[in-house]
Amino acid sequence: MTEGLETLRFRDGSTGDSSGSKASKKQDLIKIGRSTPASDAAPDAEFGFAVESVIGVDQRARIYPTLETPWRMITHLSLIGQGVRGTGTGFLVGPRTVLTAGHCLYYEPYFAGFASRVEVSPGRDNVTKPFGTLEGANFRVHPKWERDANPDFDLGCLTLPEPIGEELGWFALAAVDPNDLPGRFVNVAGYPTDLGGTEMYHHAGHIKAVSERRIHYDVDTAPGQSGSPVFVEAEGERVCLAVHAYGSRGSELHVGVESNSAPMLLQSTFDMINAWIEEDNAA
Amino acid sequence: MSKAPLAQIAIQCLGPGGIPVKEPSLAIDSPDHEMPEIALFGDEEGKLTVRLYPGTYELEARDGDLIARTRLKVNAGQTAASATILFDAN
Repeated sequence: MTEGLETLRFRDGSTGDSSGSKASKKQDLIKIGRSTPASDAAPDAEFGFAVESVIGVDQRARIYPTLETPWRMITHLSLIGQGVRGTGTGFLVGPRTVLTAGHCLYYEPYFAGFASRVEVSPGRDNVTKPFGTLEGANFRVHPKWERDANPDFDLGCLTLPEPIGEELGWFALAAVDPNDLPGRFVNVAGYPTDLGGTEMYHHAGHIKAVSERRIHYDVDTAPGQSGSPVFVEAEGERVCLAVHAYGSRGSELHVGVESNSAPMLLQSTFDMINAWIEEDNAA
Repeated sequence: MSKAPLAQIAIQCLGPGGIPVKEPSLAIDSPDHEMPEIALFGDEEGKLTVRLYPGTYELEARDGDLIARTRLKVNAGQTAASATILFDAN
């Protein structure tokens, strides 16, 4: 079922829009995607849950080709650390800046600190890498993620050697007002490894709960989708509100709903990311 | 996640007959910790090493459409452990 348009109003505006125009400080955001029917599918019998975070019926849809906006602004990440390799997702937020989850770049349990290498393949579709593969550099994560592994601040970015965003475009960002978010419709797209890990999948659903710094939604996700944009469409622009990071087990239980979650772009993190983008643009 | 000392965990994925599973994907979840949605991969011999805080973990490995799971407990004070994930012969 396709839902009607609904307007979201945000406390603050966005920067770095892909069309080149400067977004207004206050803007109306319009949701896109499909509604999510309820399901009572049983959890995994042996463990009482499944590691992946498909909520009810799996409704993820493969995206191909990935040559158009916004899909080409979403990147497959190959993560390489000490004795371990992984897959994550990131997305362009500037000409040379890729935003992702902090744990894709810095995570003591898996990388013993920062990842040693991250390969970035925008719009990857299985073995096809339509925009090539670039080596990320200059890994930065929120200090509260690096110091405390606080999931509420699980954000980071890397710099690309070329301004490929000038060709592909990038997501706008919004500093959100948490009071405006419950019930809103959001999109998540990335590279789930339960479906191969090299093809892009998309699903959309509703924000079911909002905690102090995270949104919780019924969008289906799986490992490998960490770092995916949680976005809406506003007047033709794709606007990112949060960065996907946690499946239903990793999400805060006190919110009382089965959901996947992401740290929101509140004003402080919004400002930090913009500073990272400006740093990359000035380099 | 707690800042207790990490234990080094050697993980091995084996298929039927004890044959190593080449480059399986692996996801780790835990009722004790908020685990991020990152997917790992074993090497050509199905091995990988992670560091985990004390707690209980569920490990889920995939080799194409095949899925295998096991549970791992890391005790406080433990510095190293190993886990083998066996793919069923069926």
